[in-house]
Formats: sequence, C-alpha cells, structure tokens
Amino acid sequence: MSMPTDPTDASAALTPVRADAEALGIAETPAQQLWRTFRKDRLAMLGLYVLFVLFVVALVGDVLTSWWVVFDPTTVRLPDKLLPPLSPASAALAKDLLPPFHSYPFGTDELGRNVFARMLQGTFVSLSVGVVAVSISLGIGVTVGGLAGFYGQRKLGPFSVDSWLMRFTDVVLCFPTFFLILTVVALLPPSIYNIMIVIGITSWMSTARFVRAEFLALREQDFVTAAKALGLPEWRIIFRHMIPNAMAPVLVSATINVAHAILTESALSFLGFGVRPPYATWGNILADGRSYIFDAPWLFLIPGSAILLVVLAFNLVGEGLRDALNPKLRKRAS
Amino acid sequence: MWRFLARTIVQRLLLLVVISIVSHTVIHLAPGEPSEVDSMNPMMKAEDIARIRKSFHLDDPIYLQYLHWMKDLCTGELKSFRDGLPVVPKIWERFLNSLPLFLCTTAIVWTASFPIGIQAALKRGSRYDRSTTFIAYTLISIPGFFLSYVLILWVVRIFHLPVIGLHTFGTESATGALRLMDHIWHLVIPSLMAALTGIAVLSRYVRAQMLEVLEQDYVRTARAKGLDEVHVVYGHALRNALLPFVTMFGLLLPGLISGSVIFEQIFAWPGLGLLGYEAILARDFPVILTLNFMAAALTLLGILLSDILYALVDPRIRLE
Amino acid sequence: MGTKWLLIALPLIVFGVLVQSAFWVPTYASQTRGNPARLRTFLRASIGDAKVLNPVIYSDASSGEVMAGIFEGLVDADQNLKLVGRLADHWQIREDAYVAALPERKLPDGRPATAAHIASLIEAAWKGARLDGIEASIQGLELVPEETRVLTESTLASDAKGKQVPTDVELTIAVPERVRIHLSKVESQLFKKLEPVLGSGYFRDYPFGARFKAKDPRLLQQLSEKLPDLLGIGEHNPIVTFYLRPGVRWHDGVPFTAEDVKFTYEALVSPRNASPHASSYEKIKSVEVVDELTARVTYSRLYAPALIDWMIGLIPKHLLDDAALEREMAKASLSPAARATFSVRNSEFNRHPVGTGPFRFAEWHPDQFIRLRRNEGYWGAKAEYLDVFFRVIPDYLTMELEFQAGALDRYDAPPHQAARYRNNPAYHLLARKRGSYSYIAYNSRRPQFQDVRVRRALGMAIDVDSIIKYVLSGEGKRATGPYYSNTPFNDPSVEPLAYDPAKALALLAETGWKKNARGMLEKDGKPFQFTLVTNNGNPQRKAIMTIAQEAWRKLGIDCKIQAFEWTVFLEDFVHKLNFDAVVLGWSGGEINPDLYQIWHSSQGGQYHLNYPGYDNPRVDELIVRIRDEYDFDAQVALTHQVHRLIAGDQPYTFLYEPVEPIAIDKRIALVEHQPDGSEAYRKIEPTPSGSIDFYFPKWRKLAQEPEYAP
Repeated sequence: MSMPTDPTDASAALTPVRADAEALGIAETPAQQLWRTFRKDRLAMLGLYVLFVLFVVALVGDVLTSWWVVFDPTTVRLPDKLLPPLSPASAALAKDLLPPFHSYPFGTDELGRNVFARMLQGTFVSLSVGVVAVSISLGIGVTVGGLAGFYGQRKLGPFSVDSWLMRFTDVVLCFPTFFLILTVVALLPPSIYNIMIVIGITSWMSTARFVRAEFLALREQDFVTAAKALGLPEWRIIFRHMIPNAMAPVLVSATINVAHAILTESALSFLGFGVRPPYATWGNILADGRSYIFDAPWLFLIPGSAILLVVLAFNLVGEGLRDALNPKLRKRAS
Repeated sequence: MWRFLARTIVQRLLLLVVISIVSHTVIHLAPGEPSEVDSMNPMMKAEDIARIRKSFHLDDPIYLQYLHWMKDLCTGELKSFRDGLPVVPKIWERFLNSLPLFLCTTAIVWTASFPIGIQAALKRGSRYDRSTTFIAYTLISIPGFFLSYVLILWVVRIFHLPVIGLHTFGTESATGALRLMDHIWHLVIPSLMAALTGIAVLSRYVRAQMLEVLEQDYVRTARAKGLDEVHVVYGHALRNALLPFVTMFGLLLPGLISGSVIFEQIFAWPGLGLLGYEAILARDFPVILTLNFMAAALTLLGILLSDILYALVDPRIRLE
Repeated sequence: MGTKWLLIALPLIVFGVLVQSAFWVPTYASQTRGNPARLRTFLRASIGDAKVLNPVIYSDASSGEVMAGIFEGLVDADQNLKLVGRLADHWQIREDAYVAALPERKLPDGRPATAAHIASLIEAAWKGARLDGIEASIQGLELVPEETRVLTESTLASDAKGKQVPTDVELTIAVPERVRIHLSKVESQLFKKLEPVLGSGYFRDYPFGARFKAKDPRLLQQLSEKLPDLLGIGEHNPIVTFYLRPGVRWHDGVPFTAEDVKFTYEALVSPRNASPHASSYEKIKSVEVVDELTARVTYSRLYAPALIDWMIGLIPKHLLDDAALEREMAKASLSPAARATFSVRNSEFNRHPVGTGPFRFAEWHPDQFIRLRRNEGYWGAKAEYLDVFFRVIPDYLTMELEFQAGALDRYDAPPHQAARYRNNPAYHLLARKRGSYSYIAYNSRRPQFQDVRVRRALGMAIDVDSIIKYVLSGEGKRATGPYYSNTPFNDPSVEPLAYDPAKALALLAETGWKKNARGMLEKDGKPFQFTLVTNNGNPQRKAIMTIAQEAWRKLGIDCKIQAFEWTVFLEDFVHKLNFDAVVLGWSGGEINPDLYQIWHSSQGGQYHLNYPGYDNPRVDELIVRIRDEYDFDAQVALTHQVHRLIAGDQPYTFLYEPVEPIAIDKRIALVEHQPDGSEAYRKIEPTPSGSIDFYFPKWRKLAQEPEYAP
C-alpha cells in the first residue's frame, strides 16, 4: 500500500484520482491501473510487443548500418541486381562486396543493394520522423490548448484569449492538410528536418482541442479552486496538476498521430517529395520499388508490409490506451 | 437561431480572406521558376530565355503579384503559368471529373458502413465484432497506395482488364451502353480503394454511436414495454444514433480535393488532386493558389453546412 | 423490419452494379469488343503533355512528337538521314558575294580600290581563269552603289532595376560602294581566292566601325563583336531557291504557297513571338516570294546548317498574320495592355493547330490526351490509321499497365524489361536508336577538374561497359564523343576510354593527388571532394550517380550525390553554372553538324549550353569552319577532327547511347496496297538510321497477326 511520502506536501494530497483511490481503498497508482486494464486487451498487447521489437530493431539497425557497418545499404552490386528474397550472392562478386552470410534475406534492388540493409536503415529514419513530428505537434498543441483552456476568459484586445487561439486553430484546420504539406515540402529544399517540422505544424490541432476541453473541465474542479485558495502559483497548478490529468486523451491521440505521421511520410516519399538520398526510408524504398512491381514485387511488398505492421501496431496500442483510459470501460473492467 | 447562423457566416467569410492571404504568401517562399522554358534545347539563347520570363510578370514584388492574382481570379482572367489557359475553367473541368469518383466513394462508404457498424454493435463481443474491428484497424493502417497497387497488379495480370483513367481508350466510337459500363468499371477500383479507409472509420463510429444509444434509458424502457428487438433497434435507437451523422455530411466536402491526390496519381484520374500535384511540380502558381484557396473554401462551406444542419436538427440550438 | 432489409440491400445493389460492369469492358485480347473502330485507332503515350503545338515557338519534346504528324517543313530527313524535299519539290543553291570598296587602300596594280576598279580586276581574273577553279561558278558581276541600311539588333542591357533584359538597338549603317559577284554555287573560299587579285591584306583590318550609328553608344559598344557580321569587307550571301510542291493544301482547305514560307520566317525572327529557335534564322537576310510556288531565301553570311533548319514545320499565314491576329483580338475583347503584347504566342492557333501533314488536329484535353485524325486531303499517300491519340501518362508503371490491358498500342519499355517483352509472344520488341547520349559533365571552372588527366582518370574509374550490361540490360552502346554514332560525323576510329582504375590512380598521382592516412586522396592538404547532381525521375541517371560515387570512393574520392526536381536542377545548378559535376544527356539534332552552342568557348556564360566551360581554341576554330563549310565530305573530315579532339580532352565522361526498346502489339503491321487492290503486310522494323516512326503512316492494327509478305 503506497502512501504519500511527505505528509506536509499539501499539493500532492490534492490529486483527485489518488484521493478517489484512497477513499475506495484501492492501493494502486493510476499508472498501474492503466496498465492492468491495458493488459487485458490482447490485440493492444500484441501491438505493444511489435513496437518494442521495432524500437530495438531501429536502434540496432542504425548501429549496424551506419556505425559498425555489418549490413551496408549503399554498396552497389550490379551483377546481383533484382534477386528475390533469400537468394545467395552470386559467384561473380568480388570478395569485398559480399553481403553477410553470403545471402540476401530480403533480396536486392535494381542496383544490387541489399534490401535488408536498407530496411534496417529505414526503420530508424521512419520511426524518428514519426516521433519527432508528433513531439513538435504535441508541444504546439498542449501550449495552445492549455493557454486557451486556462486563460480563456482573459481579454486580449477585442476578443478573449480563447477566441483568438480557437480562431487561429480554425484557420489552420481549414487548410487541406495533405495538400498543404505537399505544397510546402515540394517547395522547400529536400531535407528530413523540413518534413518533420511540416508534419508537426500541421497536426497539432486535435491535441489542442483535447487539451483545451480537458482544461476547461478541470478548471472548475474543486482541487484547482483549492490550490488557488492555497496560494499556489499558476504555473505550478498547470504543470503539476492539470497537465498530468489532461494527458489521457493526449496520449491516445499522440500514439495515433505517430501512426499517421509515418503514413504521411511514406505517402510523401511515394509521390516523390519525401526524404531524399542518402537517407533510406520505407517510403523511399517503396517508391523506388514501384517501377519494378512486375519484375521484382518483393521491392514493393516488403516495405509496404512493414509500414502496415508498424502503423497497425501504433493504432492498436492507441486504441488500447483509449479503452483503458475510458472511465466507463474501466468501471466495467474492474 | 438566425443570429447564430448570421454570426457563423460572417466569421467564416473573414476566415476565408485570411486563408487566401496565407496560402498566397506560402507559395512565394519557393525557389524555382515556371518550367515553360526548356533550356536543354541547344537552339535557345540567353536573350530568348529572358524575353520569355518578362512576359510572365515574374519580376514584380510579392504584393503586386497577389493583387494581380485576386483581380484576375475575380474577373475570370486568371491564367495558368504552364499553358496560358484560364485557371477557373481548368479547375471546373477537373472538378467534374473528381465528382463521380467522390460520389461513388461516398455511396460505397455510407451504404456499407451502416449495416457493418450496426451489426457489430448488436453482436458486441462476438467473433464478428472482433474480426470486423481488427479488419477496420488494418484498413486504417494500410497505406492506400500499397493496397491499390496490389489490387491493380492482380486485376491486370490475371484479367488483363484496364484499370487506369476515366475510361478505356479506344472506346470512343463504341455503343452508348458499352461506354457507360466502361465508365462505371473505371470508377470501381479507385473508389473502392478510397472507400476502404472511410468504411473502416465510419463503421467504427456507427458502432460506437449505436452502443451509446443502446445504453440509454429510453431504449431500456422500450424493451421493458415489450417491443420486439427489431422495432427497438431499427425504430427508435437507430433514428437517434443517426443524428450526428447528419451533421457529418457537411464535413465530407473537403474530401473532394484533399484525400484524392494519391489515388488520382495512381489511377491517372484527371481530377482536382492530380491537377494540384502537377501544378506543384511545375511551380504553376495561379493553379496552386486557387486550389488551396478552393479547398479551404470547401472546408469552410462544409463546416458551415454542418453548422446549419446541426442548428436545424438539434432543438437545443434552435431555442437559443 | 423494412429498414433492416433496406440497410442490407443498398450496399449489395451498389456493389452489384459496380462489379457487373467488368464484364462489358474490352480486355487486351478482345480489344474490339463492341468497338470495331479500335483497329483504326492508334494509342500512344508520353510522360508529359505537349505545351504548345506551334513549331515556331515550341521547345519541348512532347510537343515535337505530336507536331511531327501535323506540320511539315520544306525539307525532311529520309530513312538514311539524307535530306529530301517535303513541301519543297526541289531547290537550288547559289550565291551572291559582295566585295566592299575601300578607296583609301591601294590595289596591287596601284589604283585606289574603288568599286569600278575592283570589278575590273575581278572580271579580268575571272575571264583569265586565274581564280583557282572558282571562275567556273562565277556568272556575272555588277556594281552596287552606296546605301544606308537600318537594322535592329538585340542585346542584353540593364533596365531601371539593374536587371539584364533583352533590348533592341536600332543601327544605321552607311554601306559603302560594293561589287556583287553572282555565283552558281556557294564558294566558301572565294575571298581567300580573291586575295591574290586584290592584295593579300585586303580582307583584313576591319575599317567599318565608324560606319555604324546607334542612339546609345554604350549599347553599340556591346555589339562591337557582331559588327563584322553585319557589314563585312567580303560578304557571302548564299541564296536558296525553293520550288514548292503544287497541290498542297492546309488542313482548312486553303492552298499552301510561298507566302507561308515567308511568313514562317518572319514569325520566327519577330521579337514579339520570342521564338526559342530564332537564333538559327537570324542569318537569313530576307525571304522573298518569287511566285506562288517559289520562295527565295537569302542569307547574310555562310551558314552550312541552312537547309537543315528548313526542316522546321511551316505555319499558315492566313491564320496567324497580323490581320488574323486582329480578328482574334477583336473576338476576345482584350484590354489595351493585352492588345499591345498580343502575338503568335497568344493565339488560339497554338491549341488548335492547322498544318499540311498526313494527320490533322482534332482535339486537346490538357494533361489527358491529344487527338489527331487522318488528313483525307493529304498531298501524299493517305495514312492507314484514322485516329491517333497521344495520351498523357505520367509514370512508366501506369503505361505498362495500360499497354498490357490493351489501352495502349505502343510502350517504351525500360531496359530491364526488354528481355521479358522480347520473349512474350503477344508483342513485337523493336530497338529504336535516335540521336542521344548520356554523360557526366565536369565544371572546368572548379580547380580540381582543370587538369585533363584528372578528368580522364575520373572517366577511367567508371566501368561503363558494366553500366550498359547491367543498368541498360545490354541495350546501349558506348558513346565516345559529341557526335552520335549513327551519323557520318562520328569518327568510328575514336576509341572509348578504357576501364582501368589502377591507371586512373596513377594519373591522379601524377597530378599530385596522393592517398592520405585514411585512404582518401589529398593534394596540398585538401581532400578530393565534390558533389554530383542530377534530376529526379530518371532511374538510369540515378543508377549512374550511385555507380560513379562508388567507383570514385574506391579511388579515395569523396563524392556526394543529390537529385533535384528537373526545373530546380536546371535553374539553380546548370544555368547558374553552380555545380561541380552533373549527369545529363543530349538528344536530337543528329543531322546537324553544328556544335557551336554546346562546345564553343563563347557559349560558356550563364543560361548557355557550354556549361562546363570547355575552351579549346583549336576546337573553336574548327567549329566555325564547319559552319562555313558547304562541301559535305570536307565537313565530315572537320567533324572527325573535332570528335577526336573533344574525346581527348574529356570535358565530359561520355557514357552511352541508349537503345530504346519499344514494344508494340503484334497485330500491328505495315500495310502496302497492291495494284490489284489487295493488301500485303510487312513486319515493322527500325530504319537503317534507327528510327521506328518513319513509316508510321503505313501502320495499321489487324484483327490478328498477319501473314507477312516475303
């Protein structure tokens, strides 16, 4: 049974969820409760395992292809071009060009490059684009939503803060997101950072709305009034109390947004606007493989299936989180 | 209610102006010039190239270019950089091409989602529900271009059927019935691909709505009153569950431009999405700006439509 | 209850209607299902849409392809790349040469060089056969009095904002007395042969600068290099008289006459039309209409490519002259500002062309297709196909899909698919060769590329034969120099660069590049580093970049590669001369030996075509001589020399000339009508010069693959 360690830490005792738990005599933190509910969802757990494997593969893959090069994604081996998966390397190759284990687990592309190596390199890039883009959008979304929710009624000129921020959100929402991303990415110099930033600044709107809604609800709660009465500074209230409680829907939407960002990046690569060489992303490999779809379908099927798997995993985890965080369901589960 | 509507309309109009200015500014941060001048041709000289640039106003400051655009757009004089044709008729022609695709996709999505979603809600927890849930997630996760090519490969390789474009080329002088069927066939695969994600999302939403409605008190009352299940579900619950979907109609409009770029590119469907894509590649400023502007305008129109429908349908607003 | 069944029935109905349509649609095998006219329709595709269907102002290949069937020029190239008449039935070439009088100088016999004295000396030499053979061509002499000529020349000048814009300068020239010599053929060595008669220094020391006047002396100064071309001491005026084919009509029925030839010339050089081809026609002094079917073109100086330039499609005067443009403007009710700049460029004609060719324009849906119909009133043999569609399909995969479904009759297969199509019984695979080659160009302004040994070493490190074998799947040939191998200008004895990385390293060492501790090449403490760029969307170029990068990495060179969108690539890198090395290609112009714009050292400025900045004075001299050389064999000898010199200097690493595999439906054959009314069929093969489309008007699709005539 866990108790607040410092009885004089007044703010800690005011957390509503913990207060409920104590009143009901249930001895677990919200995190533990979340995990317990989440575990019951088999599909979501499967997704989580996949993501874990993915992160490991991404890190290991980046090491094995860039730092301590075991699988070289750039070596050109013309005699071995367009070999199907699990083919052995041909005898015509020079010694220093041979791949590890003398075989190609995923086959080769039109220049004889090892598709397995390229997929390894791409895992890290694809994932990082998704994560960074969503981090950016989270940062912007939480700021905008939080400010609108907390300071909403204060006036700034003719309109309230809430009004300004929500109108601004509306303007950005109106733009056809994919078309706008396409426009900007096509016009800026080709760079992975540009893509991350652009995806980030076009997907913060739903996060902002969630945070604002949560803040509006939380603001009326007793614990906030009490905190204000106690004289706690505003920033402390926001950061220490409100944001952690508002995080629930944000977490869910963040997970799903990572999936969406990965899909968007691969769509951009597919259209030819994505990350340029030398980076290999799954979208790139897919786009290159498209021309060989009749002659070398593995070039297309392998990255496509990988994207499907990863995005599906993120979606399942996100949905699992949403169900686990849903109070109605939670009551039923326990 | 009228005050509500009036306020909304004015707000949306202001947003429209802001959007046009923003979208115009974004474009001009770009490098590159219109690709009209083909300098790989050994027969061109510098003076020839510079002379061509002059005739396209490319050397004026930005705000003058914006005013040029606004003026030309309103007088219908706006001409594309690529081929000098007026922009608005071009967009209109492409719009007419996008429209059947959009309508077919919407028809498939909306007719298929409801039975699937309702059945999932009714048989909640069953194998049917779980498998449709899993399929829905898969459909949302699969990249559209990936699935499209897999399907195209299959159809072309096995059946040697044409899948690309608006109609099969060479059938211009065939019988009217054949041409009609040909048009319909060419609609099938692209709209099916575009519809899959929509079905996944919408059926989940239908399911969620039905579940929520089925828990309401009045449903329990109806059951307690002794009404048979069919009447309860289809007579009472469904009608109330459908309420939010009425307002969703309005939000469908933006899909005409935004979602279609990829599918139109894959299937070479000469619609608005493909027009935008080609315009971006060719730095065709007037077309890009107008499309962005129109997409935002459509979104605004959609939101406005939703607002109006919402006001009409929800009695609480009406009494405000 | 009803609602439930409705909910289930609706989607089933929708699906049912959609799926049943598949049974009506024609497939590859049954292309004529419900549509027998399919056999008379030819469908082809290209990646990009045409821009403008007007031969005078077009500049892209897609427009050119479509126009090939619609427009015709005065001359054309036959299947062996020899010039034959098309709209011109035959032609005659002769010359009028002018010698200007220089009264302040003395002739060898002591008299001042007035026109009369010069004429008498020349006449004497002519009659006395002392002109080294030229006297056979001289037909007569006459005196030409002084005159004032007014010309407009164009140059670049800074406008109010400091930008370089093309500016027209009006020049007034006080032309001195001259002697006109009529010659029956072009004698390019005439003035050299006159030197013994008039004095060896007669044609040197240009004295006429003062005879030019312009409003702005600074602009005149900028034109100073051009002045000898505008008024020379000796001036060649080659004259080509074209005798036009009778009975030719434009697609709208109006007869074709010499007025159209003159009008086409005027449209080409008019600054209002901003024609990209204007520079080729600026050597023309005038085009006169002698009579309805005779046009006389006078050139202001020697210009060997003259006839080749008349392959350009002619445009109709009655639809594009000022009166016609006036009518268009009136119909369109334009603002005064728009009226002032209205020209051929703005005309509706460019979207609805009218020509004289075997096909007439029918309709154009932008970015979708262009449709041509057979010209029933064609002066030559009518085409077999009734309809030709040029579809726009922006990617190769879609093209292949359409081809396999029977919605395209012709497919440009990428090299790696050639084997698959060759072995497929349903298709013919043809190998098209047209003038084109790929190369890697080095910017000679960058210090590391200035030594020829470095460039040769870089070229030797790349195994081009292996590129041809693997990237092109064998469909290609080594390129050795600036002339295409299917033309006589190419010197077949020039050997391609050998693949020898060891020798390459040795050459680099000779120039001071040694391997440092990390195995990278270094000179004076600086590593050998540069960036190789090319454009997106071309898988062969991408492969070349990657292969070159790897090959050079093994030598110890750090090469980075980047690909950009085509317009950005051209504008920011090529045109601005802002590159280290690029992968590019040239195509077209096989029949033209003139390399001025690509290889002359004066063409090394921004927006010009000699972007590597190649500068070899000997090659410059030869290029100018080729332009002036009218004798074909002499010209070929000169081009062989140029070929050898450029191959030796390796300003490019010349890579390969691709052979383009083209797949067509086996049911398409060449139709030949026999005198007894029946049809004989022959298989479609490339011509000796490698062209596939030469006999296109004779192609037709049959219900099944025919029996071929022996």
